Order: sequence, then structure tokens, then C-alpha cells
Amino acid sequence: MHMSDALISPSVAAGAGVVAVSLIAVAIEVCTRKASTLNPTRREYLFPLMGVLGAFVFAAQMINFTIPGTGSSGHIVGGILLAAILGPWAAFLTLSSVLIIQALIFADGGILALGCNIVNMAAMSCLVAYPIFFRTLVCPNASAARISAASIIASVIALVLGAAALSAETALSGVAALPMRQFLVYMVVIHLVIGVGEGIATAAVLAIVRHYRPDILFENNLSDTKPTVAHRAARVISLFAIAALIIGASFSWVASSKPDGLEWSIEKVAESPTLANPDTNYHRIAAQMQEQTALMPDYDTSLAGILGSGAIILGVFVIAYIFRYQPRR
Amino acid sequence: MSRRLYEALYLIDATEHTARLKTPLAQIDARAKLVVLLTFLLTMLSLPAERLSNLMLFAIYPITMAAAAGIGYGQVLRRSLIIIPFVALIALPNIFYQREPMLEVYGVVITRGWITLLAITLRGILAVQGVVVVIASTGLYGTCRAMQRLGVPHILASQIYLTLRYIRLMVEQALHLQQAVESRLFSRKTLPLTLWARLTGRLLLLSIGRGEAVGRAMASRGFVGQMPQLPYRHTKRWRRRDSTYLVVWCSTLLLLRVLHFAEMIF
Repeated sequence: MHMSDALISPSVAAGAGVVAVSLIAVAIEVCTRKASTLNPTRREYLFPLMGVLGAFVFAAQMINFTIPGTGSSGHIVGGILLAAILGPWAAFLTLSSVLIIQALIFADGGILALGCNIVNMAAMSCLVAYPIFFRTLVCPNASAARISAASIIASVIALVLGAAALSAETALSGVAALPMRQFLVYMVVIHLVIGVGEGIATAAVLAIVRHYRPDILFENNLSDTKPTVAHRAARVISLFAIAALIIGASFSWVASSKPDGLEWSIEKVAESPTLANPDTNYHRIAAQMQEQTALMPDYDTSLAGILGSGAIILGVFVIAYIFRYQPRR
Repeated sequence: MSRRLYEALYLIDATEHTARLKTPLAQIDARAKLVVLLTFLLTMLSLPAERLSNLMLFAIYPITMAAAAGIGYGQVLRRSLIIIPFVALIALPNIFYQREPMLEVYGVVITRGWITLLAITLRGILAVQGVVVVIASTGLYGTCRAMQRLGVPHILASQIYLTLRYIRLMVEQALHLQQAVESRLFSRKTLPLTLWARLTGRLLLLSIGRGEAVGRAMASRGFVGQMPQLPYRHTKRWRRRDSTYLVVWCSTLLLLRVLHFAEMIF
């Protein structure tokens, strides 16, 4: 479900980026405060544990399992699993760092689309589905069946919300022409099925961890966040969310107007989007020269442009190949 | 089945290896490279999808960077092709929704949908190529340090740094476990869910055990929950060539965005 750079506009990327950065800022504050309330031994473990569990999620995402009854295979996202061990904010920070590394190593999701990916995958699972659904359904002495049901529900909700957010971001960007309603329906249906698979897998791993290390589950080893921090966090999030909406809306308005800045200015001054060439000797000679030297003067402008760009790229490629850096042997 | 795990190990090693070469691009400050990469992405992705010819010119950046980094462009191209299925799948309906004719080649009318499909796919490929080339010439740790020096919060940078440190160990651990399981699977393509859960659960328990051991080891060396800043002697100084690289590439990319070179020349 990684969003690609190709499908988003810079304005949507900026809006999602602002939301992601503000959430990361809150997560950092919450984790720092949480670490300060822990006893010294556990405080020292928190950040290395987050790093190692991030590496675990990275490795676990590469091991596929058979989805029962479908013949296809899938892998976990790991948000609910991480949140059950580290707590929602620390899990969010861990999953965000995994997403950043995936974008850098595997080019899974783009650099500009990182904000979208952090919101769609890390925030939806760790900050929405886990605290609202998983934590509400699972009490400290919950049965295995209850944990499984909570895992499936939370995973389905996390993936469906993520898919809906991805559809909205794609539609707002206006790059793909697919109508949002249809795209949303496809994405939600597919991710409902994937969510059930993810939920079953998460429940299975949680059952094993609960059997061998019950002490580490459901944030038993971490103290609860103080409500004042949560309130402040909510305030900061709302502030940044509003800022993101305003930035997104204003950028979209600029992006939706057809002429670019130069064309707009010319249109305002000359009442026409293009300027007519002055009828002087110099301009006539220049136009004649251009007609004679242009490689494809009679061709359709767009096609000529495409072929011309291809020729330039080929030229650059040949020059770059000739002058490329070659290590000394 | 273990292909992705091997691939991850190979990519991590290869990235650090190419970043250590004394290539012209590797010697540029990582901050300059990151800023130029962001400018490349912003200028390229802000182009309207119909301007295919202008978009094509942005390929100059990854081609030149690959040559300066001593990486074969074929490798970069191969890595960027993985994006095609996802991007093309979402952009494919453009063919049906955008039917206005855009150009005609020997009597064959090409509609706006085909042009935008090609443009979106090209955007995806070029964006991946830009990232691949910059990361390959900077290395993952170098990128992490550059992010820290560009103002990324200390805890996030430490978190990325620690995750990077342990990815190799965890991937190797996962590979050993998976090989052990595979040798008993008799050529089955994927793991049954119960077996996968046992394998992943075991990996998680090992990770937690390792995390605690790492925490103890770090605490014994004076770690108090924050990664220390790198000593000054280990950080590269900003030089004139970094400024030149930054100014030349940012202005080139902005010019490519603002002026329509392809239509001006041809």
C-alpha cells in the first residue's frame, strides 16, 4: 500500500507532510516523557528496543505466508503488533522510521510521498486502530479468542482507513483520472480481505509471544502516558491538521488554475496568454532561422517535443556514458 | 522464498560499498545532494501530466548523477522498473476517461489518456531513479547523518540509525530461520500460516532479547537514551564545490520546469 511519488501532486504531499511531521513531533514528545517516567533500567532499553523491533518489522515484512483459502500470499504491516509491545506513540515512531528506510533502500514509496505513507500506514494502525479498537477490546487478562478478534478488527480497520486515505490523496492530487468513488470501492474491498489476513497473522504472533513472554505484551513494561500530554498532543495535532488543510487547499487552488505564473502575468498585461511577436526585421530573421534550423518544423508540436526530448536524453546518455566515472583497477 | 531477504542484504551492502567509492558525486556533501533531490522531485512532479516532452528532459538528472557516481545506468533503470505495475495499474483507467486526441502519428490518433499514462509511469520511474542514485552515492548512514544535520529531530534520526544498525542482523536471523524451515518444506512456495506465525514469533522473541542485550551494552557505555552528535572531525565541511553543485543543479531543474525547452528547440 505504499503511495508512489508519481501519483501525488506537490500540494497534497506538502499537506500530508505537515500532518506526518506534526505527528512525529508529538510522538517524540510523548516518548521522551514516557522514558523519563520509567525506571532507569527500562529507560535505557526503550530506544534500542524500538530500533531492534523496527529492524524486526523490516525483516518480517519480507517473509510471506499463505492466506488460507485464497492460494495467494501476504505479509504483515506490523503496526498493531508493534503498538501491542511498545505502545501507540513509540510504535508510530518505529514504523515511521521503517517506512523512511524502505523508501531509501527499496524505493518502496517515494520520498515526497513519505508523509502520505506515514499517515496511511503508521498513523492509521498505531494511532487510530490500536488505541480505539484494540485497547478497548483487550483487557490485561483477555482470552486468546478475544485477542484474536481484537487483532482482526483492528487490522481490518487500520488497512481500510489507510486504503481510504490513499484513495483520497490520489483523487485530491488529480494525477490519475479514475473517479474517486470507484477507486475507493476497489481499494476498500481489497484491503478488507488483506486486513483479515493481517489480523489473523498478528493474532498468531501475539499468541506465541503471550505464551513465552507475557510480560512484554500490551505495554506491561511501559507506564501509561499522562493525560495532560495526550491533551496537548491532541491540541497540537488539531492545529497542524488545520494548517495542513489550509496549505493543501491553497496549493490545490493554485495548482488547479490552468495557466502557470508567467502565462497568467502575460494574460493580465496583454489580455492574451501568449505575446505576439513584434513585426521587426530582427524577429523575422530569427523566426526564419528557427524554421530552417528546427529539426522537425512541420511536425505536430507535441510529437516534435517528445521526439526532441528523446533525442536530448539520448545525447545526454551518450555523453554521460563516455565521461562516466570509472574506478581505477 | 528467501529472495527478498537476500536482496535486502545485497542492497544494504551494495549501497554502503558504492557510497565509499571516491567518485565525484560521493564527494559532494550529502546535504547538498538531498536538497537537489528534493528540488528534482518537486519540479518534476509539479509539471502537468500532459507535458510529456518536458518531463522526459528531467531524465538528465539521474543519467548524469549515475555517471558521476560510477553506477551503470542499466542497474538504476532495472531498479526503477519495479514501480511500473503499481503506478500503471492506477493510471491505466486514464485511457478510458481521457479520450481527447492529443497528437497524430501516421494516421494513428493518440489520446490524452495514453499521454498521461506514459507521463505518470515516467514520473514514477524518474522519481525512483533520483532516489536510487543519490542514496547509492551517499550511503544509508551518510543520508541519516545528513538528515540529522538538516534539522531532523534527534530522536527520529537516532531511531533510523538504530534500526539501520540492526536491520542487517535481523535480516540474517530471519534468513537462517527461513532456510531451516524451507529445508523441511519440500519446495513449497510459501509458508503455511501456523508455521509462519511460529517463525515470526520466534524472530520477534529473538529481537526483543537482542534489544534488551543491546540496551544493556549501550547503557554500560554511557548511553542515556540519545545518540551523541558526531564529533566535528567526522563530519564533512561544506565546501565551494558543494555550493556550486547546489546552485547549478537547482537552477537547471527550475529552468527545466519553467521553460519549455523541448517545444522551444523543436
